[in-house]
Amino acid sequence: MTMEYRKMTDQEAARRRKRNVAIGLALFVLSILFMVTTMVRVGVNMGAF
Amino acid sequence: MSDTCSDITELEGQSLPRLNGEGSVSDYFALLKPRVMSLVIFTAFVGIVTAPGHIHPWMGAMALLAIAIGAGASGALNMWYDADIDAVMKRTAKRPVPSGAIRPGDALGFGLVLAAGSVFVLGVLVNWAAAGLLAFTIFFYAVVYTMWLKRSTPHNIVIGGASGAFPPMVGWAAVTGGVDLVSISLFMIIFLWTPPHFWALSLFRSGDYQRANVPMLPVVAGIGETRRQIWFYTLALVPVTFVPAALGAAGWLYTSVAIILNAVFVWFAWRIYAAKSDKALGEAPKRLFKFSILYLFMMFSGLLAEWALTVTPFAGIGG
Repeated sequence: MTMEYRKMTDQEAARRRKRNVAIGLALFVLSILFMVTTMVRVGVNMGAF
Repeated sequence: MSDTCSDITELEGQSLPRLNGEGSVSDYFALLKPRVMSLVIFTAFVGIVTAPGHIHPWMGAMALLAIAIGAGASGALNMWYDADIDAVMKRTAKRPVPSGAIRPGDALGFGLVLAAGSVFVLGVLVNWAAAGLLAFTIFFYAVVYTMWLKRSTPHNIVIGGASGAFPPMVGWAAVTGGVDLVSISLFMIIFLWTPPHFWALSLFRSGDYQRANVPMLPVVAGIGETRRQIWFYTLALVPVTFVPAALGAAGWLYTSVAIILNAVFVWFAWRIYAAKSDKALGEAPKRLFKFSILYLFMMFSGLLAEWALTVTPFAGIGG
């Protein structure tokens, strides 16, 4: 059985590209946030000693 | 939820062309209900900064981010489920799902991922009491209010309003790790503010709700009963706004702001209640609706200003 796919228009492809960039950026920002949070928590715990 | 993937959405004679589900970044942002989110962020922020105890500023910011994303997730899940009724209401027909910009399944997946992520992040990074409250808030809005109450009872927004009232409590719990009388009083202010706020809106949007078969109070019980209920809930709201001061969590500044705001709110509500007839209401519901947004913002700003004036800078949020 063969599947038929509709070709995306240029506008659809551009939107998908922008969405992918936004997802990539969001993941990058999240990783930075988690890294800083880890450093803050380590700092706070070190300060407790 | 009915299928919303037809080619054309008819709305009051105008046709909205269906998009193809390849939503843009801004469509996904709209799915988060940014305007509702801004009020959630603000009230949660007030909960965080006014709570007694210590939280590192960075952790406070992360808590706020998680709460904001949780609120956005609730909005996305609401838009997924309500796409059928949003499509027939003028105010909501252009939302991403009914307009066809985002497929219902994509909205559902987006909402679920954000909901799980926000609760997990809040639990791991801050504390699980706040995370539990956030999870309950999302569940309450998406399931109890959206899927159950909204379509089944005219008291939908009374009980469902609780979901909008939780954010300051979540913020408070992020700092203290629990719930106390002051955080409950912040919850109660928003909880009792919600019915007059939404019923004022429904008075001048009742046609929308009627078309969508949503049993809002004016549609089911009539405008007269809605006017009475607005008045009664306003009278219930006023004393509750003074509870934070009575509990020692606010002082003269907040109390003064609350007195002025309550006086104006009662005046607008009275104009609706005392109108000689339903037709004589004029612009009164619109005025109350618009003022109610300012009212809540200013009430919590009063708490914030009080905190800023009376607390030694950064003493309460230091690590």
